[in-house]
Amino acid sequence: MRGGSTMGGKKAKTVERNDHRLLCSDVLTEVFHRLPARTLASCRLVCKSWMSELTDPHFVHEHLKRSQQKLLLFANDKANDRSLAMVLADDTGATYQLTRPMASRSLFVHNSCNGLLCLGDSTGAVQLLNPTTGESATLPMPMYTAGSSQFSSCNWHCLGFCPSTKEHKVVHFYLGAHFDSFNVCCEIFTIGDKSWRQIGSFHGAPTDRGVHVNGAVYYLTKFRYIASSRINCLNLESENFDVMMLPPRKSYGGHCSLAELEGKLCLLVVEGGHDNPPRTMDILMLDSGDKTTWTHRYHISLPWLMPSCYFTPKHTLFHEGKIWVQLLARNLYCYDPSSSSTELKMACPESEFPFSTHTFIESIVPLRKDYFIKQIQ
Amino acid sequence: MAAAAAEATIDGGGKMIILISADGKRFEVTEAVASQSQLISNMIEDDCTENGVRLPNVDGDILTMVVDYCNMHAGDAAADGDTTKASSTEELKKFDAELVQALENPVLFKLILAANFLNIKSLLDMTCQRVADMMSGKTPEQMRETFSIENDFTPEEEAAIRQENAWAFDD
Repeated sequence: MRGGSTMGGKKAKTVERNDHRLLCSDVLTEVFHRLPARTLASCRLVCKSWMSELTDPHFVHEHLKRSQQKLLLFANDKANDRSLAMVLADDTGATYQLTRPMASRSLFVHNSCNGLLCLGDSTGAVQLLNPTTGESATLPMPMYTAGSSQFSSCNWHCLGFCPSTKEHKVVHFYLGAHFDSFNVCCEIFTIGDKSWRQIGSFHGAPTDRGVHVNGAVYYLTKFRYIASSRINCLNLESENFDVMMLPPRKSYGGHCSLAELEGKLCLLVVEGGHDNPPRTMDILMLDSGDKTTWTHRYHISLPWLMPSCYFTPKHTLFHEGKIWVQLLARNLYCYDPSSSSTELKMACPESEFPFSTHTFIESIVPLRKDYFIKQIQ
Repeated sequence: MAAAAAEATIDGGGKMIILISADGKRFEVTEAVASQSQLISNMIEDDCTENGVRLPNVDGDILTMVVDYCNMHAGDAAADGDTTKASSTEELKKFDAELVQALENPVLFKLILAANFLNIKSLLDMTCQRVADMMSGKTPEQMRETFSIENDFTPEEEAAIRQENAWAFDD
């Protein structure tokens, strides 16, 4: 290196000289990482090399890691035959809406993962949608669809992501042909494949739809007493089941459900029952390392509800340092752990439409393995 | 410019390093100023800067900007001792904003390439962010114009892509 003219060495990045483009690709990648997903969705249409870069799985997932989680409210506007997805952006509080092609059926959201919505309809068909890029894909009909006029505790889909293989998978739980309230069947569709795969039948029927947390789908199973319920866990990579007991606790009160908060599995325990209106909700969080230790994380006072309305926290999510809970069909409540009050407060006025609440990230995750690149080149 | 840069940092202590641009312009800066570039910092560690550092990818005009930037930011990079000439945060912000705001795109892109080549993270962050801000909200056509890129999709391919995007967010 004497003479100081050679700029070699592995730490130096190379710059293409005489590049007819204004920015070389590694610098362009730096710029792309700083763009919001909605701008990147238009960038894909600029030229083939940008399309190729912006559908590259490595780039897509790096970008996803930097994206900010938002809150999405999904509703059907039946009068105008459209779906509404209102995204609550944080600093601005701005909302925007989703328009969709005309369709005679109303859709609902099973769940959301990496910016993709897993949508269902009354026929049991499943559609995936990335509302940021506008890309959508209808999956082949699941093997078993009878009686799926709406999802029930024993018939639901859940979209998940397997971090090690970077695959998205949709899991379908349903009661099989041999009606047996203690068993549930499971089939899986891997995005990019052609058909559903039967995984088998498992002991313990779900009490509610499952929750996807970091490559696994968890659901509570039915037992005679809540305290003897278990949590079943389907690992999306190995496609094996595991069973966990609920953490020991003095009382399991009236109702239990699972949720994902701060990237971890949480158990929500609501005290009180039919005669005794619920007053509090405890949130226990599972250690993501050892997967056995539960920590009591939050204690929340619940708002007064009609005594006849059995309290079920439908969707409980963590967003912007606060916990959001949907009660009934049209009300969103919020708890701020940094405030001195433990009360769950109304977050917005009662909505015109019934809606569902989901955490959401704007992403450019493509729904086809190669998108258009393979066909184009 | 080179003389001014050298004078401004003469009390900064440490060895002086000569940077030589592609067109042969020489800039004398202190080690503290130069080592904001990870590339040069590595060269200093390897002890191979004594005959000057040739930067065959960076023109004199661009290197002037880079040296100005490094001189202004030497204070916040220097962990130890002399902070007397460290500029206030507000001054730095104003300086940074003025540096990138005024640039025409081709110059801005050259500055980004230099920041990337020299591996100066804060300058790369700032200039890339400027381009990102410029791109946001633009249509594909406007972006092609900004970056002088030719549309190489066939009309059929474009139609296929657009058909995919039947769902969309409205602002």
